[in-house]
Amino acid sequence: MVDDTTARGDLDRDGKAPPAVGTAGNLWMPRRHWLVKVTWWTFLGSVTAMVGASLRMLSPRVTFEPPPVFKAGFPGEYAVGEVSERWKKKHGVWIVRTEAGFYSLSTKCTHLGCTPNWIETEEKFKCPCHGSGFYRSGVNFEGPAPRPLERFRIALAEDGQLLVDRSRSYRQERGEWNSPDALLRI
Amino acid sequence: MGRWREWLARARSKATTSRAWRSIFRHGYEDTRRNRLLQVSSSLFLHLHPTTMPASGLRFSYTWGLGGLSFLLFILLTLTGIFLMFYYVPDTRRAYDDMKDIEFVVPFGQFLRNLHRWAAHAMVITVWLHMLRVFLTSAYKPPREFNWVIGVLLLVLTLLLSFSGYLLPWDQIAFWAITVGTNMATATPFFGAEGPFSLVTYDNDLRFLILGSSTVGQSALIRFYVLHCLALPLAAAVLVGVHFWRIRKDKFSAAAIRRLGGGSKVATGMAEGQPEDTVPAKTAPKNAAPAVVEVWPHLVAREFLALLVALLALHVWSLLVNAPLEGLASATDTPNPAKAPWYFLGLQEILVYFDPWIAGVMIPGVIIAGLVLLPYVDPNPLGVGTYDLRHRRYVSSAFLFGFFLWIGLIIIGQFLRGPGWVWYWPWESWEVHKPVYEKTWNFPWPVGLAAIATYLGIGLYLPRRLRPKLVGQFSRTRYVVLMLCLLGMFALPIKMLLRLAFHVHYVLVTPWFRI
Amino acid sequence: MRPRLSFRAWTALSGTGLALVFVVLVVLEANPAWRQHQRAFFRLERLAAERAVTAAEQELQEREREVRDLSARVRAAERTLQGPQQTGAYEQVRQDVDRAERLVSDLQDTLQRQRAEYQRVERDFLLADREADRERIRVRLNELRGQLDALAKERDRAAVRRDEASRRMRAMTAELDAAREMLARLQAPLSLARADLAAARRRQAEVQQLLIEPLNRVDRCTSCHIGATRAGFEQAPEPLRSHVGRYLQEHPPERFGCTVCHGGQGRATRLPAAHGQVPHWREPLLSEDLIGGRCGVCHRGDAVPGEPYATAGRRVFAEAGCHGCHEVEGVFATRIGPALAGVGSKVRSEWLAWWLRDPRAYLPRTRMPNFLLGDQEIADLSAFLLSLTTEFLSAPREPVSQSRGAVARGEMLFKESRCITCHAVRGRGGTIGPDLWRVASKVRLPWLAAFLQAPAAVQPGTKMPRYRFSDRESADLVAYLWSELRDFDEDAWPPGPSVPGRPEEGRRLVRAYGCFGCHQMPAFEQAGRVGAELTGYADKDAERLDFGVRRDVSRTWRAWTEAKLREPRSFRDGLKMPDYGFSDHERFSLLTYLASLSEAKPPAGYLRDVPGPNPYEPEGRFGELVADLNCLACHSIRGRGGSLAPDLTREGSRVRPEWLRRFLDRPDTIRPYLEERMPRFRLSPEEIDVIARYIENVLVDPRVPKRVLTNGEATPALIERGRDLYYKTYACDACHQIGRTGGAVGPDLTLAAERLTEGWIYAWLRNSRQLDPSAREPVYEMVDADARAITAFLLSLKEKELYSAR
Repeated sequence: MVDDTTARGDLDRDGKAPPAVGTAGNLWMPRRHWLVKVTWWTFLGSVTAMVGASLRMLSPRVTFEPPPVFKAGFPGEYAVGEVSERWKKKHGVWIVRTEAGFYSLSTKCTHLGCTPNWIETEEKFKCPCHGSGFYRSGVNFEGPAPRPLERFRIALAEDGQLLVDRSRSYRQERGEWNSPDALLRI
Repeated sequence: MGRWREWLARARSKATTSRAWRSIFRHGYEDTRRNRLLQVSSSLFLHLHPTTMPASGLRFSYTWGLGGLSFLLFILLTLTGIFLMFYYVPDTRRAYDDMKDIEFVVPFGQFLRNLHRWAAHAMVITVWLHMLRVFLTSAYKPPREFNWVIGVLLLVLTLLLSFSGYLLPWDQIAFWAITVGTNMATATPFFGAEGPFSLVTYDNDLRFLILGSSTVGQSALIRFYVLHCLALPLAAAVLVGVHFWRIRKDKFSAAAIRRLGGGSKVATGMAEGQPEDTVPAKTAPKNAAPAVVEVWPHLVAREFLALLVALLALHVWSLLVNAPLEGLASATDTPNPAKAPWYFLGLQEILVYFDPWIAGVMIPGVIIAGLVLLPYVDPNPLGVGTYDLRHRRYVSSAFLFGFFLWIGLIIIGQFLRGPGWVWYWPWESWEVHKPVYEKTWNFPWPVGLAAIATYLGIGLYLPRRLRPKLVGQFSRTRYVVLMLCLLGMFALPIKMLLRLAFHVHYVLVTPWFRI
Repeated sequence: MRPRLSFRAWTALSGTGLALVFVVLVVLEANPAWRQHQRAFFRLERLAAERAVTAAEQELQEREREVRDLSARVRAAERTLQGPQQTGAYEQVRQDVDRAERLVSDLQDTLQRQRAEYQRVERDFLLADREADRERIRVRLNELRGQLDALAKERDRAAVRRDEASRRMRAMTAELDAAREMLARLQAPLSLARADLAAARRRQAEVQQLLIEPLNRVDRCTSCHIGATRAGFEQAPEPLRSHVGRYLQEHPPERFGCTVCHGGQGRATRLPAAHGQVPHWREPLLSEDLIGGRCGVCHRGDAVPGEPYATAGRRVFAEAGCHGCHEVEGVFATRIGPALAGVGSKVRSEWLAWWLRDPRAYLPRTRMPNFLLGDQEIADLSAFLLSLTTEFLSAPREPVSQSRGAVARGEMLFKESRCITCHAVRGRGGTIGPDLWRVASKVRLPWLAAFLQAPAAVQPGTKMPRYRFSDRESADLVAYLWSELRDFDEDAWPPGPSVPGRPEEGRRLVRAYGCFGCHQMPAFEQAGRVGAELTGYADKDAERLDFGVRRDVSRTWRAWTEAKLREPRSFRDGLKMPDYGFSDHERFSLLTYLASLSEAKPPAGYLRDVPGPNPYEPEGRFGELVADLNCLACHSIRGRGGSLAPDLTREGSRVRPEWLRRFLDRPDTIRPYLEERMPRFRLSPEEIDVIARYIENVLVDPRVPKRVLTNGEATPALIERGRDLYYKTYACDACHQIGRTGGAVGPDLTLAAERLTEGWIYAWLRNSRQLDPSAREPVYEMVDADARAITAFLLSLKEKELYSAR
């Protein structure tokens, strides 16, 4: 409390020369002095670098997710007309076999990323979060989902197994489903 | 170009006169006394300072900026620690791997960890030196006794913070340092399973309480993690707040007392009737007007410089030297030698000479108690605000003896102890281990008892005889307590000599304890 | 107050310093070594891709004519489709298809809507409380189900129509599609190469990582060794080079990673930390020669395919009897030396002293190491060992005769019994038993006679079978051995110890040196091993190895281990490990094996050929005979026994009973190139019967059919076809002999029909590996018909060649 009153007292005497201050002057007022400029710029630069480095640090270089490319067994293990949930848990993928061939659908709803359920009797994927529905093909037809489910690259590996690459996705609304990598004809 | 400048000037003036700007910055930047005081008093961060201070306190060689540096390091440790927490998981199965990931794949991870580790070491040093400085300039004397006590607690917290952080990397050095360190708790009297007068077993003693288990494992790791990241920093932050508040209330550093001395005797805390001229003449010109300066910009500018230099030194060091990380912790392979962190090496060295309950519990306890009691048992009001020790020879020589004994023990532990905790001179190779067979022996108990009694008797009697006036200042109890502390301290090197030169194991062996 | 300029200079200086530190930091962070390596690799990749594009372009240019022709065909087909006579028709069909498609889709929608309606009603039904409501809803449900079925039928019909329409459309565009496809196929290499190039140009440097969860490893080695998992960079400089050999095909990186074989620090991304050549890292990168040691961590069987040192190391370890003193988890082996109970009755004291001093002086190829004993120790040990005497179970009744007749009979017997098959004489002969040169100077003759009659009874654990010599015959043999195989320079033997021996001291020495590790000894059966346990030895820090006084050995695991194997006692006084005199090859093999003794326990899925327990115990009278004749010294049954002679586990399915009985009576040569032959055991008819019955009934494989060819199936035509297949299609005669023509790698098949069952021949031809995983026969995956024909052919040999030859 003593300090505060002293300070206020000083304020009240504003304008009058305070005792024993004059000699000190202000070290920081001559902002135009080049050395002071150097100080401020380098200091601000360092602080920026510190903040930048800290933010960069928060973005990791490696993640510990399963590898994006995986082998999904031999084509003979899937029946025509089947929506296989075999890799749903581990890799987040449905593998669908139709007359035309194989495609792999992302299990991520295009609305807000929930995982829909495949309802066999209704022949649709139904998202529990907001009720989006998708056909077997992945095309949306009900609920708020703005676009069809994404398909992943599917191909045959050298040993004859199906090879799914989740790092390459294909969107129907961009016409990418016509790509030979989005539908494996067998 | 001209138009651009004009535009810039207009924009600036518009911005600085805007309502938003003025709501944030409540006063101008012109160099007026009013603004100088407002800089401090209207800023949350700066107002930990007083608005004005004695000019003599500005001198760098007076404070060496050690308190401020300790605080800076505390802040730096907090920030770097937060970032490390993003990647570190306190799980014995992955903690070590996380350290490796921080080292190798987290962007700037290695540097950040270096900064954290070296800042922690630096903080131990600055806190010790700060304490030494405060002692040397008698800044613990009235009215600052309690702030000294807070400082001692902060010292303990600093060491505990360092110690608890030591376990987190889960490497060999961490595991064994904590194993040895916490095993000392087993020797606590009453509450340790192996201590004298033990009331407990291994399953409920002090060590079990600390580790949450009887061995260093997952439960110990999570405890140390919480202590290190939450409990201890919180306690330290609160105490730092109190510490600073006291400094502000006591008008900055002790130098102020003398310079403001003419004003109020009560404020300086000097005892009534203490003659002014006991203050050393050299640093106290009589009748000089007390030189008072504003903290802003004088002190703040110096603090800024200290901050820059300290940051520079620490960053350069962290760029050049990587923080150590040894092999994964293994409960079966004890590294040889297994050394505690350097600031505890003094204790580890003492453990060679005394049983754990003395070396690991009693001695640290007495040291801390002694430090806490120091301002209350030292009746000498002289030497405040100056490095002049002539008027306080006994206190300062005892304190410095203890301080350098501690440093000496650390040097022995760090540089002169090799595999098997055997004495190696710096020029001796560790490559081929020294075969040592050292048969120790004990004094027969009557001899030991007589020796200790003689030592204490002479120690208590001689000062009375030689300096009756000085001793007369103390009450009998105060005298005995003080002398026992001092005699205990001097006994340590004596015991070391007995062991190193004559292989004496114990001076006194009783069924209950051995010394 | 200090001068202000100085203050400003200070701040400016330290500010600049701080900024510089950050500049350095950012530059270092932005250019890690792995990024530079990856950039170099991407450059190589780009160059390769560009070369591929150029090559593809050239290829296409060379086939320009074809391209032109095909393009013309495509254009012509397009014109035809759009031409006046076709246009209308084609457009028509296309609209048909579209319409049909829309119809199907609409119907599908309707169907689904109806289905939802059905489900809603069904829900009402389930929730309805009152019976009346339920009845009403049930009616509605039935009605809806009918509609649904109708709709589904309608949709299916529409789909059929659509399919038909599209078939028609495809037929019209067949020519165009074919031409287009051919063109695309021609241009495919180029477009693929271009895509590769585009991908190569797009690649960004980032930390590569193999996450091997079962092994709890994260390997970032490929961040720098980025070419390791890619083929085609064999010539690239390190660290970008492709991995050598076929290792990665057999050990896919995504399942094994790198460090599990190579060592090193997988998580590290900088040198030298990544190679583990830093303090505190237990698994430094293994040198190329020592890497074979890591194979043994998973390959727990006798052999590591393709790794000679790793294979040899395990063998040397077992043969040198290392496990006698050093425990290794999972290695169960018997003592390798002869049992020493009764050794005092067996050997002569002069020989024993010499032997203890230097075993290799008497027997250069012995497995007994040199314990570097002093005179006193030799005297003490001899005294103790010679005190271990015994009474023989069957001492010979006839005294040893020295007559010429006895010697001649002995020599005859020695040859008839084919002793040379197992024993060498002065280095010439078999290696299963000890060299017989000087044997008569080594052992006492009464012991020898007793041993020849009942080897296993006199010397428990011996591999020597029981030949059932009569008393007279064994005496003759002893006479022969004495006359031929004794040391005629016995005087040249070094003199025995000059000090008297103290048996009790000797007993102490046995305990200290751990003789019982290799030799079974009375009163020491339960003694523990005297050497350090070697489980986890590979993980041992050099810090924990006692280098003692050896300053010339560098402070590494490898140097210490090599020095220990070379000069076991050189580190300090008082060490006990004897000198084995390992050759360089043996030492290195052992080093490799020791490097595999890691504490790390790979998950079950990674382990190979783990030796299992051997619960098999031959039963009854058969078991008695097996024990008496010591069959399992050479043969094995169900994983138990030796590997010198064929495995008998499936013998009952393999050979014909008649042949087996004859063979047991008079063993003949089956494979001319093998030196070890079955001795004659002089079995009684009753014993032959016991053995043959057991083999026929117990040692059979259910996968081998009893009969294959039905009656009358083996027609001459089939046999002819089989002969053709045998000589031409499969060229079996390259390895097998029939009637003295053909190779000698496989067994002679002239007698196959007499020896082998038809089921075995057939099953073997179908899949030999199934019956014997180590068979050298090529895998032909022969179809049933071929196998039958060849079986018929081989069986036919019985009637013609075989009986005419007899």
